[in-house]
Amino acid sequence: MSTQTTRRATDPIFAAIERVEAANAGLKRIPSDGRPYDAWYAAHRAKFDKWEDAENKMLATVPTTAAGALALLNYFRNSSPIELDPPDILLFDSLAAYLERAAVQS
Amino acid sequence: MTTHTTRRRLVISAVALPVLAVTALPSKASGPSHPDAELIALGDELQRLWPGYLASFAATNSDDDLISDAAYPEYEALDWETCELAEKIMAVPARTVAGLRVKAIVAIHSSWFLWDKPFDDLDWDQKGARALMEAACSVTGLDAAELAAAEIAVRS
Repeated sequence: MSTQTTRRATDPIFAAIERVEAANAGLKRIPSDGRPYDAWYAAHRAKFDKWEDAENKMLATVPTTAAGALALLNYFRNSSPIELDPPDILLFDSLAAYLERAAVQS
Repeated sequence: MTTHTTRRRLVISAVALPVLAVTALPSKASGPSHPDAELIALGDELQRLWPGYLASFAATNSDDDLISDAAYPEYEALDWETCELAEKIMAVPARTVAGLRVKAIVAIHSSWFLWDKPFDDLDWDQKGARALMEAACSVTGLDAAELAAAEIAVRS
Protein backbone atom coordinates (compact mmCIF):
# COMPACT_ATOMS: atom_id res chain seq x y z
CA MET A 1 0.00 0.00 0.00
CA SER A 2 1.47 3.37 -0.98
CA THR A 3 1.96 6.17 1.50
CA GLN A 4 -0.77 8.17 -0.19
CA THR A 5 -3.17 5.23 -0.09
CA THR A 6 -2.40 4.72 3.59
CA ARG A 7 -3.11 8.38 4.31
CA ARG A 8 -6.42 8.15 2.49
CA ALA A 9 -7.32 5.03 4.39
CA THR A 10 -6.55 6.57 7.76
CA ASP A 11 -7.93 10.07 7.26
CA PRO A 12 -11.74 10.03 7.12
CA ILE A 13 -11.92 13.38 5.36
CA PHE A 14 -10.98 11.84 2.02
CA ALA A 15 -13.93 9.44 2.04
CA ALA A 16 -16.20 12.25 3.23
CA ILE A 17 -15.13 14.48 0.33
CA GLU A 18 -15.55 11.65 -2.14
CA ARG A 19 -19.11 11.07 -0.90
CA VAL A 20 -19.89 14.75 -1.47
CA GLU A 21 -18.44 14.66 -4.96
CA ALA A 22 -20.39 11.51 -5.79
CA ALA A 23 -23.61 13.06 -4.49
CA ASN A 24 -22.91 16.21 -6.47
CA ALA A 25 -22.34 14.19 -9.63
CA GLY A 26 -25.65 12.44 -9.02
CA LEU A 27 -27.35 15.78 -8.68
CA LYS A 28 -26.00 16.94 -12.03
CA ARG A 29 -27.11 13.76 -13.79
CA ILE A 30 -30.81 14.30 -13.22
CA PRO A 31 -32.38 14.63 -16.69
CA SER A 32 -34.92 17.34 -17.29
CA ASP A 33 -36.07 16.13 -20.69
CA GLY A 34 -39.81 16.04 -20.96
CA ARG A 35 -40.59 14.76 -17.50
CA PRO A 36 -43.44 16.29 -15.54
CA TYR A 37 -42.16 19.02 -13.25
CA ASP A 38 -43.34 17.24 -10.09
CA ALA A 39 -41.40 14.11 -10.98
CA TRP A 40 -38.32 16.11 -11.85
CA TYR A 41 -38.59 18.14 -8.66
CA ALA A 42 -38.98 15.05 -6.47
CA ALA A 43 -35.91 13.45 -8.02
CA HIS A 44 -33.95 16.66 -7.75
CA ARG A 45 -35.01 17.25 -4.16
CA ALA A 46 -33.96 13.76 -3.08
CA LYS A 47 -30.58 14.09 -4.76
CA PHE A 48 -30.12 17.57 -3.34
CA ASP A 49 -30.88 16.34 0.18
CA LYS A 50 -28.37 13.55 -0.26
CA TRP A 51 -25.72 16.00 -1.42
CA GLU A 52 -26.46 18.40 1.42
CA ASP A 53 -26.32 15.60 3.96
CA ALA A 54 -22.99 14.40 2.59
CA GLU A 55 -21.61 17.93 2.69
CA ASN A 56 -22.71 18.45 6.28
CA LYS A 57 -21.06 15.19 7.27
CA MET A 58 -17.90 16.26 5.48
CA LEU A 59 -17.85 19.55 7.40
CA ALA A 60 -18.24 17.68 10.65
CA THR A 61 -15.31 15.42 9.81
CA VAL A 62 -12.02 16.67 11.19
CA PRO A 63 -9.01 15.88 8.99
CA THR A 64 -6.38 13.85 10.77
CA THR A 65 -3.53 14.47 8.34
CA ALA A 66 -2.01 17.50 6.65
CA ALA A 67 -2.93 16.00 3.29
CA GLY A 68 -6.53 15.65 4.45
CA ALA A 69 -6.63 19.22 5.68
CA LEU A 70 -5.32 20.38 2.32
CA ALA A 71 -7.98 18.32 0.54
CA LEU A 72 -10.66 20.05 2.62
CA LEU A 73 -9.23 23.48 1.86
CA ASN A 74 -9.15 22.66 -1.81
CA TYR A 75 -12.78 21.63 -1.62
CA PHE A 76 -13.62 25.08 -0.26
CA ARG A 77 -11.48 26.71 -2.92
CA ASN A 78 -12.71 24.78 -5.90
CA SER A 79 -16.20 23.54 -5.16
CA SER A 80 -17.98 25.45 -2.48
CA PRO A 81 -16.48 28.72 -1.22
CA ILE A 82 -17.26 29.90 2.28
CA GLU A 83 -17.55 33.45 3.50
CA LEU A 84 -15.07 34.12 6.27
CA ASP A 85 -14.35 36.99 8.60
CA PRO A 86 -10.95 38.66 8.11
CA PRO A 87 -9.12 36.76 10.87
CA ASP A 88 -10.44 33.49 9.51
CA ILE A 89 -9.42 34.42 5.96
CA LEU A 90 -5.90 34.97 7.23
CA LEU A 91 -6.00 31.61 8.99
CA PHE A 92 -7.29 30.00 5.82
CA ASP A 93 -4.45 31.54 3.80
CA SER A 94 -1.84 30.60 6.37
CA LEU A 95 -3.11 27.08 6.65
CA ALA A 96 -3.23 26.69 2.89
CA ALA A 97 0.28 28.07 2.45
CA TYR A 98 1.64 25.85 5.18
CA LEU A 99 -0.07 22.72 3.88
CA GLU A 100 1.03 23.39 0.33
CA ARG A 101 4.63 23.78 1.43
CA ALA A 102 4.33 20.58 3.44
CA ALA A 103 2.87 18.79 0.42
CA VAL A 104 5.72 19.95 -1.79
CA GLN A 105 8.31 18.83 0.73
CA SER A 106 6.76 15.42 1.38
CA MET B 1 -15.05 35.63 0.41
CA THR B 2 -16.62 38.69 2.01
CA THR B 3 -15.38 40.56 5.00
CA HIS B 4 -17.06 41.79 8.11
CA THR B 5 -15.70 44.12 10.74
CA THR B 6 -14.39 41.94 13.47
CA ARG B 7 -11.60 43.90 15.04
CA ARG B 8 -13.36 44.09 18.37
CA ARG B 9 -14.74 40.59 18.13
CA LEU B 10 -11.26 39.27 17.57
CA VAL B 11 -10.08 40.21 20.99
CA ILE B 12 -13.19 40.64 23.05
CA SER B 13 -14.03 37.05 22.40
CA ALA B 14 -10.50 35.91 23.00
CA VAL B 15 -11.29 35.20 26.62
CA ALA B 16 -9.45 32.07 27.51
CA LEU B 17 -6.52 32.70 29.74
CA PRO B 18 -6.47 29.11 30.97
CA VAL B 19 -6.53 27.91 27.41
CA LEU B 20 -3.81 30.26 26.33
CA ALA B 21 -1.69 29.18 29.26
CA VAL B 22 -2.20 25.51 28.54
CA THR B 23 -1.63 25.83 24.84
CA ALA B 24 1.23 28.28 24.98
CA LEU B 25 4.08 27.44 22.71
CA PRO B 26 7.02 25.90 24.45
CA SER B 27 9.62 28.59 24.95
CA LYS B 28 12.37 26.19 23.99
CA ALA B 29 10.88 25.97 20.53
CA SER B 30 11.33 29.68 20.02
CA GLY B 31 14.33 31.94 19.84
CA PRO B 32 15.56 34.47 17.33
CA SER B 33 16.62 31.82 14.84
CA HIS B 34 13.24 30.10 14.74
CA PRO B 35 11.52 30.65 11.37
CA ASP B 36 8.41 31.78 13.24
CA ALA B 37 10.23 33.72 15.96
CA GLU B 38 8.10 36.81 15.36
CA LEU B 39 4.83 34.93 15.62
CA ILE B 40 5.92 33.05 18.71
CA ALA B 41 7.06 36.27 20.37
CA LEU B 42 3.71 37.89 19.60
CA GLY B 43 1.93 34.89 21.08
CA ASP B 44 4.04 35.10 24.20
CA GLU B 45 3.27 38.80 24.50
CA LEU B 46 -0.44 38.15 24.18
CA GLN B 47 -0.18 35.56 26.90
CA ARG B 48 1.64 38.00 29.14
CA LEU B 49 -1.10 40.61 28.80
CA TRP B 50 -3.98 38.22 29.14
CA PRO B 51 -4.34 38.03 32.95
CA GLY B 52 -4.73 41.79 33.20
CA TYR B 53 -7.06 41.87 30.25
CA LEU B 54 -9.30 39.20 31.68
CA ALA B 55 -9.35 40.75 35.11
CA SER B 56 -10.33 44.13 33.72
CA PHE B 57 -12.88 42.51 31.44
CA ALA B 58 -14.51 40.82 34.41
CA ALA B 59 -14.43 44.02 36.42
CA THR B 60 -16.17 46.00 33.72
CA ASN B 61 -19.00 43.48 33.91
CA SER B 62 -19.40 43.93 37.64
CA ASP B 63 -22.86 44.75 38.94
CA ASP B 64 -21.25 47.48 41.00
CA ASP B 65 -21.06 50.59 38.85
CA LEU B 66 -18.17 51.99 40.85
CA ILE B 67 -16.09 48.91 40.09
CA SER B 68 -17.05 48.68 36.46
CA ASP B 69 -16.50 52.39 35.84
CA ALA B 70 -13.12 52.33 37.55
CA ALA B 71 -12.01 49.29 35.58
CA TYR B 72 -13.01 50.58 32.20
CA PRO B 73 -9.93 52.69 31.32
CA GLU B 74 -7.58 49.79 31.99
CA TYR B 75 -9.83 47.41 30.13
CA GLU B 76 -10.00 49.70 27.13
CA ALA B 77 -6.22 50.09 27.02
CA LEU B 78 -5.66 46.35 27.25
CA ASP B 79 -8.41 45.71 24.74
CA TRP B 80 -6.59 47.83 22.18
CA GLU B 81 -3.22 46.37 23.00
CA THR B 82 -4.32 42.75 22.81
CA CYS B 83 -6.33 43.47 19.69
CA GLU B 84 -3.25 44.88 17.99
CA LEU B 85 -1.31 41.78 18.95
CA ALA B 86 -4.02 39.47 17.65
CA GLU B 87 -4.16 41.35 14.36
CA LYS B 88 -0.39 41.16 13.97
CA ILE B 89 -0.47 37.43 14.71
CA MET B 90 -3.02 36.86 12.00
CA ALA B 91 -1.14 39.04 9.50
CA VAL B 92 2.32 37.51 9.89
CA PRO B 93 2.79 34.47 7.64
CA ALA B 94 3.35 31.17 9.42
CA ARG B 95 6.31 29.15 8.22
CA THR B 96 6.12 26.26 10.61
CA VAL B 97 3.52 24.32 12.51
CA ALA B 98 4.50 26.29 15.63
CA GLY B 99 3.55 29.54 13.95
CA LEU B 100 0.35 28.11 12.58
CA ARG B 101 -0.49 26.96 16.07
CA VAL B 102 -0.31 30.53 17.39
CA LYS B 103 -2.74 31.61 14.68
CA ALA B 104 -5.10 28.73 15.33
CA ILE B 105 -5.33 29.65 19.01
CA VAL B 106 -6.21 33.25 18.18
CA ALA B 107 -8.76 32.08 15.60
CA ILE B 108 -10.51 29.85 18.11
CA HIS B 109 -10.52 32.65 20.65
CA SER B 110 -12.18 34.95 18.17
CA SER B 111 -14.77 32.42 17.05
CA TRP B 112 -15.48 30.39 20.18
CA PHE B 113 -19.22 30.91 19.63
CA LEU B 114 -19.12 28.49 16.71
CA TRP B 115 -18.91 25.72 19.30
CA ASP B 116 -21.58 27.24 21.52
CA LYS B 117 -24.44 25.71 19.58
CA PRO B 118 -25.07 22.37 17.90
CA PHE B 119 -23.26 21.94 14.61
CA ASP B 120 -26.53 21.51 12.73
CA ASP B 121 -27.70 24.92 13.91
CA LEU B 122 -24.82 26.69 12.16
CA ASP B 123 -25.18 28.06 8.65
CA TRP B 124 -22.96 26.94 5.78
CA ASP B 125 -20.31 29.62 6.26
CA GLN B 126 -20.15 29.02 10.00
CA LYS B 127 -19.80 25.30 9.46
CA GLY B 128 -17.05 25.95 6.96
CA ALA B 129 -15.21 28.31 9.31
CA ARG B 130 -15.48 25.79 12.11
CA ALA B 131 -14.22 23.01 9.85
CA LEU B 132 -11.31 25.21 8.83
CA MET B 133 -10.35 25.92 12.42
CA GLU B 134 -10.68 22.28 13.40
CA ALA B 135 -8.42 21.36 10.49
CA ALA B 136 -5.85 23.92 11.61
CA CYS B 137 -6.05 22.62 15.17
CA SER B 138 -5.74 19.03 14.01
CA VAL B 139 -2.63 19.84 12.00
CA THR B 140 -1.07 21.71 14.92
CA GLY B 141 -2.01 19.25 17.64
CA LEU B 142 -4.66 21.38 19.31
CA ASP B 143 -8.13 20.34 20.38
CA ALA B 144 -10.50 22.94 18.93
CA ALA B 145 -13.51 21.82 20.96
CA GLU B 146 -11.50 21.92 24.16
CA LEU B 147 -10.18 25.38 23.40
CA ALA B 148 -13.64 26.64 22.58
CA ALA B 149 -15.18 25.00 25.64
CA ALA B 150 -12.78 26.88 27.87
CA GLU B 151 -13.77 30.11 26.12
CA ILE B 152 -17.45 29.38 26.54
CA ALA B 153 -16.97 28.62 30.23
CA VAL B 154 -15.35 32.00 30.82
CA ARG B 155 -17.77 33.94 28.67
CA SER B 156 -20.98 32.57 30.13
